[in-house]
Amino acid sequence: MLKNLQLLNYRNYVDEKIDFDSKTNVLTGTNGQGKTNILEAVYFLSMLRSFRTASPREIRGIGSDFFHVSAFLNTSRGYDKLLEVDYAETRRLRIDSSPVFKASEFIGSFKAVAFLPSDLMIVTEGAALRRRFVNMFLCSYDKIYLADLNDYANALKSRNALLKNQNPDTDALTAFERILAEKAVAITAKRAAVLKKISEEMARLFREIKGGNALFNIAYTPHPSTENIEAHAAKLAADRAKDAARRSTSLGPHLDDCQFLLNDKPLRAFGSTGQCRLAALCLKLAALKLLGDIDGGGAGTVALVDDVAGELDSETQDAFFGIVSQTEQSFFTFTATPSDAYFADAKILEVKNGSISNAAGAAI
Amino acid sequence: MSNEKYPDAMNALIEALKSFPGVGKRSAERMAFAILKWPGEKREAVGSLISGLSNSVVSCVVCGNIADAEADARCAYCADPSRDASIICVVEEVAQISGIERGGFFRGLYHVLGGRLAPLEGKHAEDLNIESLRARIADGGVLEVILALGQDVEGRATAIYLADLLKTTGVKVSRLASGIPVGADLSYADSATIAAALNGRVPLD
Ligand SMILES: Nc1ncnc2c1ncn2[C@@H]1O[C@H](COP(=O)(O)OP(=O)(O)O)[C@@H](O)[C@H]1O
Ligand SMILES: [Mg+2]
Ligand SMILES: [Zn+2]
Repeated sequence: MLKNLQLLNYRNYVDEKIDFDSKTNVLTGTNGQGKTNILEAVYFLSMLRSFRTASPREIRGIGSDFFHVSAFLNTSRGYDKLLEVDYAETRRLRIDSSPVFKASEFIGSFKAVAFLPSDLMIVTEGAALRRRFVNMFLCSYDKIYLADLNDYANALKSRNALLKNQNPDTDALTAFERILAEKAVAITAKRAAVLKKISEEMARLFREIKGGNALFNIAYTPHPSTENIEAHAAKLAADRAKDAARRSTSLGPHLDDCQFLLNDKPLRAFGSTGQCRLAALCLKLAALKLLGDIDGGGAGTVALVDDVAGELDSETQDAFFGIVSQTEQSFFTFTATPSDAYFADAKILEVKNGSISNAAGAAI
Repeated sequence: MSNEKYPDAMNALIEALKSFPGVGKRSAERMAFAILKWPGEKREAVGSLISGLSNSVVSCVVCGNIADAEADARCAYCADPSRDASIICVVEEVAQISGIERGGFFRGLYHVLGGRLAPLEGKHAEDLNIESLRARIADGGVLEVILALGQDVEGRATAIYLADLLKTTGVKVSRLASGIPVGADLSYADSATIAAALNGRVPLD
């Protein structure tokens, strides 16, 4: 669990250090004070990505040319680990003051799952958001997945670049398509396996919340040739002329999708807003549960809950707190101190205009 | 980032030194100040070593490694009759040869591609020393080619490309099997690791 968090030029935090000594933490304050920014910073330390923006430059405080986030992590093995990220022109990562050069060696020091109002869009919007969710999840679930994904992206861009030439080098295409096919098969297999597990966990949650006849599942629709490297490479080779004309590769996991089905009907088309919201919540709960099962009993997981917990009905709330209470640590945002008994022992932190104090009002 | 007020010539030197691999502004400044302290003769001598390189060092006409400039220039390995000319180890860059040599295990000859297939950097087959490799094999006497290329996407694609290309020649083609970490730069892998990788080489099919 995180023992503290230090921020420099992080959005509206100029220089802020917060100590955490509690498993359950509640950030309160009116809108625009900086509650979500704290969750974002914790998430960034876990995933080296923001859940709000694809461009880390947006994070640095207005007028500054860098930002810094660091935290002491108390691991389940009992020792502390200092995690530091500096983002100026380039990104510098350190663990216990030693530089770390590969993102994959930094990501997942603890496993954060964010519950956000925008999660609804994963269920209701286009395939890109679902692929993004699956990719982010797999990056903390499977150490090698990020390398697979980077290699795939590189081979894909290389193939597209070769196809731009008047007379593409077909032997070079064959070589890059071979790697593309290897990675496509590996990525597809990992997505299929993990979506099956998520689907089972979500189905269980739906039954728990909605009763025995709510039948939920995820239908993953990979591209047809992605089970076999040779077949996929052959298909890519056959598509060269077509892909050269479209200026992109038309086959592979960069275009696949999955559907959330309730009683065999796609939620995206037929679900009520309430059902879609519940599916989004269960998706994140399933992710949290699976990450917590890696080392058992929720070890190493951190739940970041932004404006989500307040409006749940009681069955949903029971299921929600049931899983979130298994995490190593959780952070909630509320505009007012929550009255629910779940938060009786929580640490309440007041957020006001980029600074944080404990509920008694004393500066920390 | 504050900009120091140096004389123009110092700024130019620092800028030039920054082009060394792994040298940033701070190290470049330290190097420039060290050079400033050298006696004049030493600066002259080092300067002429650098400016003379283009005349004194050329590419080996056989393998592309560096060699002393002379007619029909051959590198130290190609000129050494005790090396086994039936095995060729293909590397991306000249700098990788010393890493393999330090292992003391490999007794064959080299072939330097001068890079790898990298469509995103505009590097294509015709930019690499591939024709000369084919010619060496066509001349006969080569039984095995070891592809000691990087493990990133471009290095692996280049290995696949060359293995396909050499398929019809009948020579055995293998690549470094293990030991070299994925994504590692072969120039800096330690020699024991490279020796292990050479031992464990596997045929490419
Ligand atoms: N790059 C930035 N530099 C400075 N302030 C920022 C930056 N990005 C966002 N902010 C400020 O952060 C505040 C929003 O914080 P947020 O965490 O979303 O608030 P809330 O408490 O409602 O969750 C706003 O006041 C916004 O102006
Ligand atoms: Mg907010
Ligand atoms: Zn030579």
